Amino acid sequence: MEQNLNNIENSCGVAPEGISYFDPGNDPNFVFVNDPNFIKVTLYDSEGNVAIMNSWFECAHYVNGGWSNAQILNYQGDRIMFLFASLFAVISSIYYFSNIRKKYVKK
Amino acid sequence: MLKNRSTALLVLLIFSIFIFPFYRHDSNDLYEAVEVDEISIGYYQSTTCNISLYEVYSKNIRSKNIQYNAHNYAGLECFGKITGVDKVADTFIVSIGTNSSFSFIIQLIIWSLFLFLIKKSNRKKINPTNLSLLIIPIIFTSQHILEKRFYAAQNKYFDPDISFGNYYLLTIFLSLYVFCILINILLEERLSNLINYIPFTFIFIGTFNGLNLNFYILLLSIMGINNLKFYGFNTLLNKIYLVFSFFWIFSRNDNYTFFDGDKIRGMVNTSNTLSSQMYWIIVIALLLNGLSFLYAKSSINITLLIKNFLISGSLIVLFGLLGANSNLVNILNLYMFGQNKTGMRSFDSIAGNTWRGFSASAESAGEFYAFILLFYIVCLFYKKINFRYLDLPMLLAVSFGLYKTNNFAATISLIIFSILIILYPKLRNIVSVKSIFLGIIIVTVSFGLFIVNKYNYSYLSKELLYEASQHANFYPNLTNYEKYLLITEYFDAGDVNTLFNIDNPGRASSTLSRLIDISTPNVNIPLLPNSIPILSTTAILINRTEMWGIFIAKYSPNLVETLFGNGPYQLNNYLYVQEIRLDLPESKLSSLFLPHSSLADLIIFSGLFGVLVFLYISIKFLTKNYQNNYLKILSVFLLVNFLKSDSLLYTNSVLLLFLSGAVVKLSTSSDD
Repeated sequence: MEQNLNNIENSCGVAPEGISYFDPGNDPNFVFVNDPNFIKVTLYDSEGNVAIMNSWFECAHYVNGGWSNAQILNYQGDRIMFLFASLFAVISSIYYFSNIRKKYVKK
Repeated sequence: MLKNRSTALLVLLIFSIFIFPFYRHDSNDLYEAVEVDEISIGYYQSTTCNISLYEVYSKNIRSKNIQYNAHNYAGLECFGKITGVDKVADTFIVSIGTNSSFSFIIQLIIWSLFLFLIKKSNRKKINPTNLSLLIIPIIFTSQHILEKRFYAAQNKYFDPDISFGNYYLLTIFLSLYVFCILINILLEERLSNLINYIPFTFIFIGTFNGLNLNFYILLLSIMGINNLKFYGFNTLLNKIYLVFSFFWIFSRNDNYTFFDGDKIRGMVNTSNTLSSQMYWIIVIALLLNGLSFLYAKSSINITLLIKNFLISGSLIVLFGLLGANSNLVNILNLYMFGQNKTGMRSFDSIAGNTWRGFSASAESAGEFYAFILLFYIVCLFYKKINFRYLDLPMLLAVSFGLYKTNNFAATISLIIFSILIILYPKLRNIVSVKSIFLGIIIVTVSFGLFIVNKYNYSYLSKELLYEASQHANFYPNLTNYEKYLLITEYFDAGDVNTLFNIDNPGRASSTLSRLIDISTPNVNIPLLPNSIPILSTTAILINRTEMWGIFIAKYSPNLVETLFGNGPYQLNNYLYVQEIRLDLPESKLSSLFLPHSSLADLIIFSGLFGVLVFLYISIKFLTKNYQNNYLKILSVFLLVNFLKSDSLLYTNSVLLLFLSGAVVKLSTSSDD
């Protein structure tokens, strides 16, 4: 629990006075009340989903569920390779087609 | 001087591109390489994709019980890095991440740059068509969709959806586009000289890591498009191929069997669907046109060709032995040369069904070495080349390579063909050609009679079909031993009818049933020899009874497949359709059983008509008069050896056969 509290404080800050975290369970009618004094926090899950927190309680609940304010960046190797291949394609095209053009100009 | 410098720079660039991914690391990071032992396994498991191959190797340089394995399914961030360590028996298996897409880019660049080391030709420049820049990427990118079952297991980025957000396919497409540009630049001035470097296809195998694609197929496909552009589609070769394609496509029913490619990955259809069938029909059509283009535009320099053969053969021996001695060289060989499987880790002749990694089969490696020696002897004897002392160590290395392949057939045929080369010119002056042929026939018949006398005729004539029956799915409720006893009993009693038609109706393959029918004809024509005893005796003499027996038991084509085959490089039906029960030890049951005859391979791919077409081309070639007729012996040597090996399944062996034919017509003995 202490570890959880640390995580909550790291992501959501210290609990406002008079508010403490309790598990709302699976109550479908439970509504997170907005706290206008709370500075909004963005949390991320392991799949890269994003959620904006409007109250400390809401934030604590999400952190307990495994969300965090640290974005876990998926290493997008396929995108990097695509950029790499695109760069090569552009350079080689410029070289190749300018050479062809030169040949035609010579002729 | 300038040329040497640019060559050196190019070689340096190639090796830098090759080494860098395995070297790159941050010396100041938290993850240090440690000695690989039982304690450090956990450390390596928890620091995956952080420690490079170079770091681990340098820390464990003296360790002999470490084996490095390539792991294709890793992401780019893990390329060249350790992705895990396991202990199997006394050996630590260190997995190295080698993402297939990135490997493809690197290998494509490295091998294309190597081609630029080829000397420019003095012949007229050609203007390669730019159509290939679009057609080749489309065709070969589509393979990833058409053979998705293969690719899905090879690459974590694999995505078969056609969309602009699919970076996986876009990367493959763009890489192929860049490759086509490089090859067009290359073809312009080096095309006619390219053929002289075919020997190097045996060291640079060219199979892309984690892909069912071979570099030379790509290269020849580009030439194929050029052939179609320069000479049109209207050639006899294309017309015949079109007829075959018609039957391959319209006789096809989608069948979802899957062949992982195993040791013939790179030139085999892994899927059994109409779409993948069409892909391979197009690719092989381009390949045939590519060979035609290469033939039309090439000039062979015998001196250079022999030199390249000797260098290539020696380098295979050298790198093979280095790989057996060093685990690091072993894994780098796999990556650099595009091997289908990692090389042997011992100095034994054959291990793991591969020959030092440089050849998927010891047989094709043996054929290659014997071919080099035969080629050297022919050219030396006919004074096409002069003996140089520098050749001697390379000839010794090649001979050692041949010895290590344990290829008895290649060695014996090398000796016989060499004797023929030496004796033929002397005999020709004394005896007529007809008498020589008559002599060969008399010797063959006498040898046949001797064999028949030595062994029992009944044994010789039935052994192959008996062996095939042992592998058929007969008596499914009995054990293998009980099955063996019953089959032996029926064969000894000469009652195959009960065995096939009463006890086991419909359980034999169509090939086996047909051969049984031929061996027991209803009408016996006197003096006409039955083909089955000849086939069976040949199989016994060249130690192919078991392998050909398995082929007969497994291959069960319908009528169209018998006549036109299953399609180019389509082995799925052969491997999976017929239910069999191999009479082999338990440990061998999961092995890949290829037919062990290129003739059988040809029958599977193109049927009996395909064999007829091939025979027609071969006979036409052998009977036509060329300036360098004596060099035909090279083709005959390969054709004889191909009869008992699967060399038709290997790109480099196919290229060697092509070269052996081309050399008769295109060769000159002087340097350019």
